[in-house]
Amino acid sequence: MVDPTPEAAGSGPQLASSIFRKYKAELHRWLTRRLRNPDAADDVAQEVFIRLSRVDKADYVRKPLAYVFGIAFHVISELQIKEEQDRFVSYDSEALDRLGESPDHAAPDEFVDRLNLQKQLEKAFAELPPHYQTVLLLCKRDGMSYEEAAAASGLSVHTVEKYLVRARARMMEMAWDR
Amino acid sequence: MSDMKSGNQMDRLLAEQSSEWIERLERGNAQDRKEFAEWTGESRRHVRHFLMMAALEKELESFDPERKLPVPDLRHQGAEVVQLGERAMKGAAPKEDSPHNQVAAAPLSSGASPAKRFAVSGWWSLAAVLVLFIGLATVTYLLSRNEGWEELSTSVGEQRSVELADGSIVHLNTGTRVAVRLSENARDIRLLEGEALFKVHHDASRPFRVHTERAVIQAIGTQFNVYRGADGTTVSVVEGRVQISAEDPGAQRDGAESGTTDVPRAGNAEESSGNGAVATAGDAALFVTRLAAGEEARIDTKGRIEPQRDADITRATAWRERRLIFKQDSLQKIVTEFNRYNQVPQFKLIGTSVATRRYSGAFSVDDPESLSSLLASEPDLLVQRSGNEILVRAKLETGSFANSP
Repeated sequence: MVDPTPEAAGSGPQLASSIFRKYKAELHRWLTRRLRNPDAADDVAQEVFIRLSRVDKADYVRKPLAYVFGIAFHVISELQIKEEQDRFVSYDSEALDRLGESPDHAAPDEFVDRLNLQKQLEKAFAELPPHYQTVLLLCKRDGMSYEEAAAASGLSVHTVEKYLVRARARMMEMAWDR
Repeated sequence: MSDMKSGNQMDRLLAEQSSEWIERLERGNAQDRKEFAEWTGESRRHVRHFLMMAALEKELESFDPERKLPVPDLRHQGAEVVQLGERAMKGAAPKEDSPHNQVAAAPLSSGASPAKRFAVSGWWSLAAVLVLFIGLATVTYLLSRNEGWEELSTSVGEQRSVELADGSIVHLNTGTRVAVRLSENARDIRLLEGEALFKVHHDASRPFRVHTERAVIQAIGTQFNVYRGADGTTVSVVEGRVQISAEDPGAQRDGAESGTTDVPRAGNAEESSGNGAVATAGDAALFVTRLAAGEEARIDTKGRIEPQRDADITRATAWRERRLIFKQDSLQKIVTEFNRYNQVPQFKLIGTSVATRRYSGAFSVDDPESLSSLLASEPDLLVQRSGNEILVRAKLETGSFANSP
Protein backbone atom coordinates (compact mmCIF):
# COMPACT_ATOMS: atom_id res chain seq x y z
CA MET A 1 0.00 0.00 0.00
CA VAL A 2 1.29 3.40 -0.90
CA ASP A 3 0.81 6.08 1.69
CA PRO A 4 -1.74 8.47 0.23
CA THR A 5 -0.36 11.58 1.91
CA PRO A 6 1.14 14.05 -0.53
CA GLU A 7 4.28 14.38 1.53
CA ALA A 8 5.10 10.72 0.98
CA ALA A 9 4.34 10.76 -2.73
CA GLY A 10 7.92 11.35 -3.76
CA SER A 11 8.03 7.95 -5.43
CA GLY A 12 5.26 8.82 -7.90
CA PRO A 13 5.76 10.79 -11.09
CA GLN A 14 7.20 14.13 -10.14
CA LEU A 15 4.59 16.28 -11.79
CA ALA A 16 1.79 14.69 -9.84
CA SER A 17 2.94 16.46 -6.72
CA SER A 18 1.67 19.75 -8.14
CA ILE A 19 -1.85 18.34 -8.23
CA PHE A 20 -1.72 16.72 -4.85
CA ARG A 21 0.21 19.23 -2.84
CA LYS A 22 -2.89 20.20 -0.91
CA TYR A 23 -4.58 16.85 -1.03
CA LYS A 24 -5.08 15.34 2.38
CA ALA A 25 -4.98 11.71 3.40
CA GLU A 26 -8.38 12.02 5.08
CA LEU A 27 -9.84 13.44 1.92
CA HIS A 28 -8.46 10.56 -0.06
CA ARG A 29 -9.80 8.01 2.36
CA TRP A 30 -13.24 9.52 2.17
CA LEU A 31 -13.22 9.78 -1.60
CA THR A 32 -11.96 6.28 -2.23
CA ARG A 33 -14.79 4.96 -0.13
CA ARG A 34 -17.19 7.01 -2.27
CA LEU A 35 -15.65 5.86 -5.51
CA ARG A 36 -17.86 2.86 -5.09
CA ASN A 37 -20.89 4.84 -3.99
CA PRO A 38 -20.76 8.09 -5.93
CA ASP A 39 -24.19 9.31 -4.85
CA ALA A 40 -22.89 10.01 -1.40
CA ALA A 41 -20.28 12.36 -2.81
CA ASP A 42 -22.85 14.69 -4.24
CA ASP A 43 -23.66 16.52 -1.02
CA VAL A 44 -20.00 17.22 -0.54
CA ALA A 45 -19.60 18.45 -4.10
CA GLN A 46 -22.59 20.73 -3.61
CA GLU A 47 -21.13 22.26 -0.48
CA VAL A 48 -17.69 22.63 -2.03
CA PHE A 49 -19.30 24.24 -5.05
CA ILE A 50 -21.15 26.77 -2.90
CA ARG A 51 -18.09 27.66 -0.85
CA LEU A 52 -15.96 28.00 -3.95
CA SER A 53 -18.39 30.58 -5.23
CA ARG A 54 -17.68 32.68 -2.14
CA VAL A 55 -13.94 32.61 -2.57
CA ASP A 56 -12.36 35.75 -3.99
CA LYS A 57 -12.21 35.09 -7.69
CA ALA A 58 -8.68 36.39 -8.21
CA ASP A 59 -7.37 34.17 -5.41
CA TYR A 60 -9.25 31.18 -6.72
CA VAL A 61 -7.98 31.52 -10.26
CA ARG A 62 -4.42 31.69 -8.98
CA LYS A 63 -4.60 28.50 -6.92
CA PRO A 64 -7.75 26.60 -7.87
CA LEU A 65 -6.50 23.20 -6.78
CA ALA A 66 -5.47 24.39 -3.36
CA TYR A 67 -8.96 25.76 -2.86
CA VAL A 68 -10.82 22.77 -4.26
CA PHE A 69 -8.91 20.27 -2.15
CA GLY A 70 -8.71 22.52 0.89
CA ILE A 71 -12.42 23.23 0.94
CA ALA A 72 -13.33 19.62 0.18
CA PHE A 73 -11.26 18.53 3.15
CA HIS A 74 -13.05 20.94 5.47
CA VAL A 75 -16.46 20.00 4.16
CA ILE A 76 -15.76 16.32 4.68
CA SER A 77 -14.47 16.87 8.20
CA GLU A 78 -17.62 18.77 9.07
CA LEU A 79 -19.81 16.17 7.41
CA GLN A 80 -18.29 13.38 9.45
CA ILE A 81 -19.12 15.23 12.63
CA LYS A 82 -22.66 15.89 11.42
CA GLU A 83 -23.24 12.31 10.36
CA GLU A 84 -22.66 11.25 13.93
CA GLN A 85 -25.46 13.50 15.06
CA ASP A 86 -27.98 12.77 12.33
CA ARG A 87 -30.79 10.66 13.57
CA PHE A 88 -33.53 10.48 10.96
CA VAL A 89 -34.49 7.20 9.40
CA SER A 90 -32.07 6.37 6.66
CA TYR A 91 -32.00 3.38 4.43
CA ASP A 92 -29.95 2.26 1.47
CA SER A 93 -30.92 -1.10 0.02
CA GLU A 94 -27.71 -1.39 -1.96
CA ALA A 95 -25.51 -0.45 0.94
CA LEU A 96 -27.22 -3.19 2.93
CA ASP A 97 -26.59 -5.66 0.15
CA ARG A 98 -22.97 -4.70 0.06
CA LEU A 99 -22.44 -4.88 3.75
CA GLY A 100 -24.42 -8.03 4.33
CA GLU A 101 -27.09 -6.73 6.70
CA SER A 102 -24.79 -4.60 8.81
CA PRO A 103 -25.97 -1.03 9.24
CA ASP A 104 -24.58 1.72 7.07
CA HIS A 105 -22.44 3.48 9.61
CA ALA A 106 -20.51 0.31 10.41
CA ALA A 107 -18.48 0.84 7.25
CA PRO A 108 -15.75 -1.65 6.43
CA ASP A 109 -12.34 -0.41 7.43
CA GLU A 110 -10.20 1.63 5.17
CA PHE A 111 -7.80 -1.14 4.27
CA VAL A 112 -10.58 -3.39 2.98
CA ASP A 113 -12.04 -0.44 1.12
CA ARG A 114 -8.90 0.30 -0.73
CA LEU A 115 -8.22 -3.34 -1.40
CA ASN A 116 -11.66 -3.64 -2.94
CA LEU A 117 -11.11 -0.55 -4.99
CA GLN A 118 -7.81 -1.83 -6.30
CA LYS A 119 -9.50 -5.10 -7.23
CA GLN A 120 -12.21 -3.19 -8.97
CA LEU A 121 -9.67 -1.14 -10.86
CA GLU A 122 -7.93 -4.31 -11.96
CA LYS A 123 -11.20 -5.60 -13.30
CA ALA A 124 -11.92 -2.35 -15.08
CA PHE A 125 -8.41 -2.33 -16.47
CA ALA A 126 -8.91 -5.78 -17.96
CA GLU A 127 -11.85 -4.46 -19.97
CA LEU A 128 -9.97 -1.55 -21.48
CA PRO A 129 -8.90 -1.67 -25.12
CA PRO A 130 -5.20 -2.66 -25.39
CA HIS A 131 -4.15 0.85 -26.43
CA TYR A 132 -5.57 2.33 -23.29
CA GLN A 133 -3.96 -0.41 -21.20
CA THR A 134 -0.58 0.25 -22.73
CA VAL A 135 -0.65 3.98 -22.14
CA LEU A 136 -2.00 3.62 -18.64
CA LEU A 137 0.69 1.14 -17.60
CA LEU A 138 3.51 3.12 -19.18
CA CYS A 139 2.48 6.51 -17.84
CA LYS A 140 1.01 5.62 -14.47
CA ARG A 141 2.52 2.40 -13.23
CA ASP A 142 5.91 2.90 -14.88
CA GLY A 143 5.95 6.66 -14.38
CA MET A 144 6.96 7.52 -17.94
CA SER A 145 6.50 10.96 -19.48
CA TYR A 146 4.31 11.28 -22.60
CA GLU A 147 7.43 11.33 -24.72
CA GLU A 148 8.89 8.21 -23.17
CA ALA A 149 5.58 6.39 -23.41
CA ALA A 150 5.25 7.45 -27.04
CA ALA A 151 8.69 6.06 -27.84
CA ALA A 152 7.95 2.82 -26.02
CA SER A 153 4.57 2.25 -27.63
CA GLY A 154 5.03 3.65 -31.12
CA LEU A 155 2.12 6.04 -30.63
CA SER A 156 2.42 9.78 -31.10
CA VAL A 157 2.83 12.00 -28.05
CA HIS A 158 -0.54 13.55 -28.72
CA THR A 159 -2.19 10.13 -28.92
CA VAL A 160 -0.57 9.04 -25.69
CA GLU A 161 -2.13 11.95 -23.87
CA LYS A 162 -5.48 11.40 -25.52
CA TYR A 163 -5.55 7.72 -24.64
CA LEU A 164 -4.42 8.41 -21.12
CA VAL A 165 -7.27 10.84 -20.59
CA ARG A 166 -9.79 8.39 -21.97
CA ALA A 167 -8.34 5.38 -20.21
CA ARG A 168 -8.70 7.07 -16.85
CA ALA A 169 -12.20 8.23 -17.72
CA ARG A 170 -13.18 4.69 -18.65
CA MET A 171 -11.68 3.32 -15.45
CA MET A 172 -13.79 5.82 -13.55
CA GLU A 173 -16.95 4.84 -15.36
CA MET A 174 -16.41 1.16 -14.83
CA ALA A 175 -15.53 1.63 -11.20
CA TRP A 176 -18.88 3.40 -10.84
CA ASP A 177 -20.84 0.99 -12.92
CA ARG A 178 -22.83 -0.67 -10.16
CA MET B 1 -25.17 -4.75 -20.08
CA SER B 2 -24.62 -2.65 -23.15
CA ASP B 3 -27.72 -0.76 -22.18
CA MET B 4 -26.20 0.08 -18.84
CA LYS B 5 -23.11 1.44 -20.51
CA SER B 6 -25.02 3.76 -22.76
CA GLY B 7 -26.89 4.85 -19.68
CA ASN B 8 -23.81 6.48 -18.33
CA GLN B 9 -23.01 8.72 -21.23
CA MET B 10 -23.63 11.75 -19.11
CA ASP B 11 -21.07 10.55 -16.63
CA ARG B 12 -18.76 9.60 -19.45
CA LEU B 13 -18.52 13.15 -20.70
CA LEU B 14 -17.80 14.50 -17.25
CA ALA B 15 -15.35 11.69 -16.59
CA GLU B 16 -13.42 12.59 -19.72
CA GLN B 17 -13.39 16.26 -18.86
CA SER B 18 -12.19 15.60 -15.33
CA SER B 19 -9.57 13.22 -16.61
CA GLU B 20 -8.38 15.85 -19.03
CA TRP B 21 -8.08 18.38 -16.22
CA ILE B 22 -5.73 16.10 -14.33
CA GLU B 23 -3.40 16.16 -17.33
CA ARG B 24 -3.76 19.84 -18.07
CA LEU B 25 -3.20 20.92 -14.50
CA GLU B 26 -0.04 18.91 -14.24
CA ARG B 27 1.45 21.05 -16.94
CA GLY B 28 -0.11 23.88 -15.04
CA ASN B 29 0.07 27.20 -16.81
CA ALA B 30 -1.95 30.19 -15.69
CA GLN B 31 -4.44 29.89 -18.51
CA ASP B 32 -5.20 26.27 -17.63
CA ARG B 33 -5.76 27.21 -14.01
CA LYS B 34 -8.06 30.03 -15.00
CA GLU B 35 -10.15 27.78 -17.21
CA PHE B 36 -10.22 25.11 -14.55
CA ALA B 37 -11.46 27.67 -12.05
CA GLU B 38 -14.25 28.60 -14.43
CA TRP B 39 -15.15 25.00 -15.14
CA THR B 40 -15.44 24.08 -11.47
CA GLY B 41 -17.53 27.20 -10.98
CA GLU B 42 -20.06 26.06 -13.56
CA SER B 43 -21.56 23.07 -11.82
CA ARG B 44 -21.23 21.06 -8.70
CA ARG B 45 -21.22 17.96 -10.87
CA HIS B 46 -17.95 19.22 -12.26
CA VAL B 47 -16.62 19.57 -8.75
CA ARG B 48 -17.81 16.11 -7.84
CA HIS B 49 -16.36 14.45 -10.88
CA PHE B 50 -13.07 16.19 -10.45
CA LEU B 51 -12.76 15.20 -6.80
CA MET B 52 -13.53 11.61 -7.65
CA MET B 53 -11.13 11.66 -10.55
CA ALA B 54 -8.39 13.02 -8.32
CA ALA B 55 -9.00 10.12 -5.95
CA LEU B 56 -8.84 7.67 -8.81
CA GLU B 57 -5.63 9.23 -10.08
CA LYS B 58 -4.15 8.80 -6.64
CA GLU B 59 -5.19 5.16 -6.61
CA LEU B 60 -3.65 4.62 -10.02
CA GLU B 61 -0.30 5.55 -8.59
CA SER B 62 -0.40 2.35 -6.61
CA PHE B 63 -1.92 0.28 -9.38
CA ASP B 64 -0.25 -3.04 -10.12
CA PRO B 65 2.63 -2.40 -7.70
CA GLU B 66 4.28 -5.76 -8.43
CA ARG B 67 4.22 -4.99 -12.15
CA LYS B 68 2.57 -8.24 -12.99
CA LEU B 69 0.55 -6.89 -15.88
CA PRO B 70 2.28 -7.06 -19.26
CA VAL B 71 2.22 -4.01 -21.51
CA PRO B 72 0.25 -4.98 -24.64
CA ASP B 73 2.23 -4.84 -27.86
CA LEU B 74 0.34 -2.38 -30.03
CA ARG B 75 2.22 -3.16 -33.18
CA HIS B 76 0.11 -6.28 -33.56
CA GLN B 77 -3.15 -4.50 -32.91
CA GLY B 78 -5.39 -2.58 -35.26
CA ALA B 79 -5.60 1.00 -34.07
CA GLU B 80 -9.18 1.36 -33.08
CA VAL B 81 -10.57 3.62 -30.47
CA VAL B 82 -13.97 3.27 -28.98
CA GLN B 83 -15.60 6.59 -28.70
CA LEU B 84 -18.92 8.11 -27.96
CA GLY B 85 -20.62 8.41 -31.33
CA GLU B 86 -20.82 11.85 -32.81
CA ARG B 87 -22.85 11.76 -35.94
CA ALA B 88 -22.85 14.64 -38.34
CA MET B 89 -26.29 15.84 -39.25
CA LYS B 90 -26.50 15.39 -42.97
CA GLY B 91 -29.39 15.40 -45.33
CA ALA B 92 -31.53 17.44 -43.01
CA ALA B 93 -35.19 17.74 -43.73
CA PRO B 94 -36.54 20.59 -45.82
CA LYS B 95 -37.81 23.75 -44.24
CA GLU B 96 -40.92 23.64 -42.13
CA ASP B 97 -41.93 27.26 -41.74
CA SER B 98 -45.44 26.63 -42.90
CA PRO B 99 -47.45 23.60 -41.93
CA HIS B 100 -48.33 23.15 -45.59
CA ASN B 101 -44.78 22.29 -46.50
CA GLN B 102 -43.84 18.68 -46.81
CA VAL B 103 -41.67 17.88 -43.83
CA ALA B 104 -39.61 14.74 -43.88
CA ALA B 105 -38.38 13.18 -40.69
CA ALA B 106 -34.70 13.09 -40.01
CA PRO B 107 -34.42 9.36 -39.38
CA LEU B 108 -33.45 8.03 -36.02
CA SER B 109 -30.06 6.43 -35.98
CA SER B 110 -29.75 2.82 -36.94
CA GLY B 111 -28.97 1.90 -33.35
CA ALA B 112 -32.39 2.97 -32.20
CA SER B 113 -35.41 0.75 -32.24
CA PRO B 114 -37.88 1.69 -34.97
CA ALA B 115 -40.23 4.37 -33.82
CA LYS B 116 -43.91 4.42 -34.49
CA ARG B 117 -45.33 7.06 -36.74
CA PHE B 118 -46.79 9.67 -34.52
CA ALA B 119 -50.39 8.83 -33.74
CA VAL B 120 -50.99 7.58 -37.25
CA SER B 121 -54.19 5.69 -36.60
CA GLY B 122 -55.72 8.55 -34.66
CA TRP B 123 -55.10 10.97 -37.43
CA TRP B 124 -56.46 8.65 -40.08
CA SER B 125 -59.75 8.16 -38.33
CA LEU B 126 -60.07 11.86 -37.70
CA ALA B 127 -59.18 12.50 -41.31
CA ALA B 128 -61.85 10.06 -42.51
CA VAL B 129 -64.54 12.00 -40.70
CA LEU B 130 -63.26 15.30 -41.92
CA VAL B 131 -63.26 14.15 -45.52
CA LEU B 132 -67.01 13.92 -45.40
CA PHE B 133 -67.50 17.43 -44.11
CA ILE B 134 -64.63 19.54 -45.15
CA GLY B 135 -63.00 17.96 -48.10
CA LEU B 136 -59.74 16.72 -49.30
CA ALA B 137 -57.76 19.91 -48.79
CA THR B 138 -58.12 19.69 -45.04
CA VAL B 139 -56.92 16.12 -44.99
CA THR B 140 -53.79 17.05 -46.83
CA TYR B 141 -53.24 19.84 -44.34
CA LEU B 142 -53.59 17.64 -41.30
CA LEU B 143 -51.35 14.92 -42.62
CA SER B 144 -48.57 17.25 -43.60
CA ARG B 145 -48.87 19.02 -40.31
CA ASN B 146 -47.94 15.91 -38.38
CA GLU B 147 -45.44 14.61 -40.78
CA GLY B 148 -41.96 14.51 -39.41
CA TRP B 149 -42.92 13.58 -35.88
CA GLU B 150 -41.61 10.28 -34.63
CA GLU B 151 -42.86 8.89 -31.42
CA LEU B 152 -40.75 7.06 -28.86
CA SER B 153 -42.22 5.45 -25.81
CA THR B 154 -41.56 3.16 -22.86
CA SER B 155 -43.97 1.01 -20.89
CA VAL B 156 -44.19 0.84 -17.11
CA GLY B 157 -40.84 -0.15 -15.63
CA GLU B 158 -39.03 0.15 -18.95
CA GLN B 159 -36.17 2.53 -19.69
CA ARG B 160 -34.65 3.22 -23.03
CA SER B 161 -31.95 5.36 -24.61
CA VAL B 162 -32.16 6.58 -28.17
CA GLU B 163 -29.59 8.48 -30.14
CA LEU B 164 -31.23 10.94 -32.49
CA ALA B 165 -29.88 11.62 -35.94
CA ASP B 166 -28.30 14.88 -34.77
CA GLY B 167 -26.19 13.08 -32.17
CA SER B 168 -28.32 14.09 -29.22
CA ILE B 169 -29.33 11.36 -26.83
CA VAL B 170 -32.72 10.95 -25.23
CA HIS B 171 -33.04 8.69 -22.20
CA LEU B 172 -36.65 7.75 -21.56
CA ASN B 173 -37.76 6.81 -18.07
CA THR B 174 -40.68 4.54 -17.22
CA GLY B 175 -44.08 5.23 -18.78
CA THR B 176 -42.87 7.97 -21.08
CA ARG B 177 -43.90 9.19 -24.52
CA VAL B 178 -42.04 11.74 -26.58
CA ALA B 179 -42.48 12.90 -30.15
CA VAL B 180 -39.40 14.03 -32.00
CA ARG B 181 -39.04 16.17 -35.07
CA LEU B 182 -35.65 17.16 -36.43
CA SER B 183 -35.57 19.64 -39.24
CA GLU B 184 -33.10 21.98 -40.83
CA ASN B 185 -33.59 24.87 -38.47
CA ALA B 186 -35.01 23.35 -35.32
CA ARG B 187 -35.07 20.28 -33.17
CA ASP B 188 -38.39 19.90 -31.42
CA ILE B 189 -39.34 17.33 -28.82
CA ARG B 190 -42.76 17.02 -27.26
CA LEU B 191 -42.78 15.44 -23.85
CA LEU B 192 -46.26 13.99 -23.99
CA GLU B 193 -45.99 11.99 -20.81
CA GLY B 194 -43.42 10.91 -18.23
CA GLU B 195 -39.77 11.82 -17.84
CA ALA B 196 -36.75 12.11 -20.08
CA LEU B 197 -33.13 13.13 -19.80
CA PHE B 198 -31.76 14.99 -22.80
CA LYS B 199 -28.13 15.15 -23.72
CA VAL B 200 -28.06 17.74 -26.43
CA HIS B 201 -25.53 17.68 -29.20
CA HIS B 202 -24.35 21.22 -29.80
CA ASP B 203 -25.68 22.79 -32.96
CA ALA B 204 -26.03 26.55 -32.82
CA SER B 205 -28.01 26.71 -36.04
CA ARG B 206 -30.82 24.52 -34.76
CA PRO B 207 -32.34 25.22 -31.37
CA PHE B 208 -33.19 22.15 -29.32
CA ARG B 209 -36.58 22.65 -27.69
CA VAL B 210 -38.60 20.48 -25.40
CA HIS B 211 -42.29 21.27 -25.33
CA THR B 212 -44.18 20.26 -22.25
CA GLU B 213 -47.62 21.03 -20.94
CA ARG B 214 -47.20 24.71 -20.31
CA ALA B 215 -43.74 25.66 -21.42
CA VAL B 216 -40.92 25.35 -23.85
CA ILE B 217 -37.47 24.46 -22.61
CA GLN B 218 -34.68 25.48 -24.89
CA ALA B 219 -31.16 24.20 -24.55
CA ILE B 220 -27.80 25.06 -25.95
CA GLY B 221 -25.40 22.11 -25.98
CA THR B 222 -26.41 20.79 -22.63
CA GLN B 223 -28.01 18.06 -20.55
CA PHE B 224 -31.22 18.34 -18.69
CA ASN B 225 -34.00 16.25 -17.24
CA VAL B 226 -37.70 16.95 -17.69
CA TYR B 227 -40.33 15.21 -15.57
CA ARG B 228 -43.94 15.76 -16.46
CA GLY B 229 -45.95 14.74 -13.42
CA ALA B 230 -49.60 15.08 -12.55
CA ASP B 231 -49.14 18.45 -10.86
CA GLY B 232 -46.67 20.08 -13.18
CA THR B 233 -43.31 19.69 -14.81
CA THR B 234 -39.87 19.72 -13.21
CA VAL B 235 -36.83 20.77 -15.22
CA SER B 236 -33.36 19.93 -13.84
CA VAL B 237 -30.21 21.09 -15.56
CA VAL B 238 -27.22 18.77 -15.39
CA GLU B 239 -24.88 20.75 -17.62
CA GLY B 240 -24.87 24.01 -19.49
CA ARG B 241 -27.91 26.26 -19.48
CA VAL B 242 -31.51 26.15 -20.54
CA GLN B 243 -34.19 28.71 -20.95
CA ILE B 244 -37.81 28.05 -20.07
CA SER B 245 -40.57 30.03 -21.71
CA ALA B 246 -44.15 29.79 -20.57
CA GLU B 247 -46.52 29.20 -23.41
CA ASP B 248 -49.36 31.36 -24.51
CA PRO B 249 -52.47 29.85 -22.93
CA GLY B 250 -54.33 30.36 -26.22
CA ALA B 251 -51.88 28.22 -28.11
CA GLN B 252 -52.26 25.61 -25.42
CA ARG B 253 -56.01 25.47 -25.90
CA ASP B 254 -55.66 24.94 -29.64
CA GLY B 255 -53.32 22.09 -28.94
CA ALA B 256 -55.71 20.47 -26.51
CA GLU B 257 -58.47 20.50 -29.09
CA SER B 258 -56.47 18.68 -31.68
CA GLY B 259 -55.56 16.02 -29.15
CA THR B 260 -51.90 16.82 -28.89
CA THR B 261 -49.90 19.77 -27.73
CA ASP B 262 -49.22 21.94 -30.71
CA VAL B 263 -45.75 23.26 -31.21
CA PRO B 264 -45.67 26.90 -30.31
CA ARG B 265 -43.55 29.36 -32.13
CA ALA B 266 -41.72 30.55 -29.06
CA GLY B 267 -38.01 30.98 -29.15
CA ASN B 268 -37.41 30.73 -32.87
CA ALA B 269 -35.14 33.71 -33.10
CA GLU B 270 -33.08 33.28 -30.00
CA GLU B 271 -30.44 30.79 -30.80
CA SER B 272 -28.55 32.97 -33.26
CA SER B 273 -27.13 35.16 -30.53
CA GLY B 274 -25.55 32.07 -28.99
CA ASN B 275 -26.20 32.97 -25.39
CA GLY B 276 -29.90 32.50 -25.05
CA ALA B 277 -31.31 35.96 -25.55
CA VAL B 278 -34.75 36.62 -24.14
CA ALA B 279 -37.46 34.89 -26.08
CA THR B 280 -39.54 36.81 -28.56
CA ALA B 281 -41.77 38.80 -26.28
CA GLY B 282 -45.40 39.29 -27.13
CA ASP B 283 -45.39 36.34 -29.45
CA ALA B 284 -45.86 33.22 -27.39
CA ALA B 285 -43.57 33.50 -24.41
CA LEU B 286 -45.05 35.20 -21.39
CA PHE B 287 -42.39 34.44 -18.87
CA VAL B 288 -38.81 33.46 -19.36
CA THR B 289 -36.61 31.78 -16.80
CA ARG B 290 -33.04 30.75 -17.25
CA LEU B 291 -31.46 27.88 -15.42
CA ALA B 292 -27.79 27.04 -15.06
CA ALA B 293 -26.22 23.69 -14.27
CA GLY B 294 -27.30 22.34 -10.93
CA GLU B 295 -30.52 24.33 -10.95
CA GLU B 296 -34.08 23.19 -11.11
CA ALA B 297 -37.45 24.79 -11.78
CA ARG B 298 -41.03 23.69 -11.57
CA ILE B 299 -43.69 24.67 -14.04
CA ASP B 300 -47.12 24.33 -12.48
CA THR B 301 -50.31 23.51 -14.32
CA LYS B 302 -51.05 27.20 -14.74
CA GLY B 303 -47.77 27.80 -16.50
CA ARG B 304 -46.04 29.55 -13.62
CA ILE B 305 -42.33 28.88 -13.52
CA GLU B 306 -40.78 28.61 -10.12
CA PRO B 307 -37.06 28.08 -9.53
CA GLN B 308 -36.40 25.48 -6.83
CA ARG B 309 -34.10 26.41 -4.01
CA ASP B 310 -33.31 22.93 -2.83
CA ALA B 311 -32.44 21.57 -6.25
CA ASP B 312 -30.74 18.21 -6.25
CA ILE B 313 -29.75 17.14 -9.72
CA THR B 314 -28.42 13.79 -8.61
CA ARG B 315 -31.84 12.84 -7.41
CA ALA B 316 -33.43 14.07 -10.61
CA THR B 317 -31.19 11.86 -12.72
CA ALA B 318 -30.73 8.86 -10.42
CA TRP B 319 -33.40 7.07 -12.41
CA ARG B 320 -30.83 6.48 -15.09
CA GLU B 321 -29.29 3.95 -12.73
CA ARG B 322 -32.74 2.75 -11.75
CA ARG B 323 -32.26 4.34 -8.39
CA LEU B 324 -34.66 6.41 -6.35
CA ILE B 325 -33.17 8.83 -3.89
CA PHE B 326 -35.22 10.54 -1.22
CA LYS B 327 -34.24 13.16 1.27
CA GLN B 328 -36.76 13.88 3.93
CA ASP B 329 -39.49 13.30 1.39
CA SER B 330 -43.06 12.47 2.26
CA LEU B 331 -44.09 8.86 2.12
CA GLN B 332 -46.74 9.91 -0.38
CA LYS B 333 -44.08 11.11 -2.78
CA ILE B 334 -42.00 7.99 -2.21
CA VAL B 335 -44.79 5.54 -2.98
CA THR B 336 -45.90 7.60 -5.98
CA GLU B 337 -42.41 7.20 -7.40
CA PHE B 338 -42.33 3.46 -6.73
CA ASN B 339 -45.74 3.06 -8.30
CA ARG B 340 -44.48 4.70 -11.47
CA TYR B 341 -42.02 1.88 -12.03
CA ASN B 342 -43.99 -1.15 -10.97
CA GLN B 343 -47.40 -2.23 -12.10
CA VAL B 344 -47.32 -4.81 -9.33
CA PRO B 345 -47.19 -4.19 -6.45
CA GLN B 346 -48.82 -0.79 -6.06
CA PHE B 347 -48.39 0.93 -2.72
CA LYS B 348 -51.45 2.45 -1.18
CA LEU B 349 -51.32 4.70 1.85
CA ILE B 350 -54.27 4.90 4.17
CA GLY B 351 -54.61 8.00 6.32
CA THR B 352 -52.91 11.38 6.07
CA SER B 353 -50.64 10.79 9.03
CA VAL B 354 -49.00 8.00 7.07
CA ALA B 355 -48.73 9.97 3.85
CA THR B 356 -46.97 12.91 5.47
CA ARG B 357 -44.29 10.96 7.31
CA ARG B 358 -40.85 11.75 6.00
CA TYR B 359 -38.06 9.42 5.05
CA SER B 360 -34.64 9.52 3.52
CA GLY B 361 -33.13 6.69 1.60
CA ALA B 362 -31.85 5.24 -1.61
CA PHE B 363 -33.72 2.43 -3.29
CA SER B 364 -33.64 0.36 -6.41
CA VAL B 365 -36.78 0.98 -8.47
CA ASP B 366 -36.97 -2.75 -9.11
CA ASP B 367 -37.11 -3.57 -5.45
CA PRO B 368 -40.38 -2.29 -4.01
CA GLU B 369 -40.10 -5.02 -1.40
CA SER B 370 -37.26 -3.13 0.22
CA LEU B 371 -39.58 -0.21 0.90
CA SER B 372 -42.25 -2.59 2.07
CA SER B 373 -39.96 -4.24 4.58
CA LEU B 374 -38.59 -0.91 5.76
CA LEU B 375 -42.12 0.25 6.49
CA ALA B 376 -43.02 -3.05 8.08
CA SER B 377 -40.17 -2.58 10.53
CA GLU B 378 -41.72 0.64 11.79
CA PRO B 379 -43.36 -0.15 15.11
CA ASP B 380 -46.40 2.05 14.51
CA LEU B 381 -47.15 1.03 10.93
CA LEU B 382 -49.16 -1.86 9.61
CA VAL B 383 -48.18 -3.20 6.19
CA GLN B 384 -50.55 -5.63 4.52
CA ARG B 385 -50.61 -7.22 1.13
CA SER B 386 -53.95 -7.29 -0.62
CA GLY B 387 -53.88 -8.73 -4.11
CA ASN B 388 -51.61 -6.53 -6.14
CA GLU B 389 -51.56 -3.80 -3.55
CA ILE B 390 -49.46 -3.16 -0.51
CA LEU B 391 -51.55 -1.28 2.02
CA VAL B 392 -49.80 0.89 4.56
CA ARG B 393 -51.63 2.36 7.52
CA ALA B 394 -50.94 3.59 11.02
CA LYS B 395 -51.62 1.00 13.68
CA LEU B 396 -53.65 3.39 15.80
CA GLU B 397 -55.93 4.37 12.95
CA THR B 398 -57.02 0.83 12.25
CA GLY B 399 -59.04 0.78 15.44
CA SER B 400 -61.53 3.50 16.34
CA PHE B 401 -59.36 4.80 19.14
CA ALA B 402 -58.78 8.18 17.57
CA ASN B 403 -60.45 10.46 20.06
CA SER B 404 -60.81 14.16 19.48
CA PRO B 405 -60.29 16.63 22.33
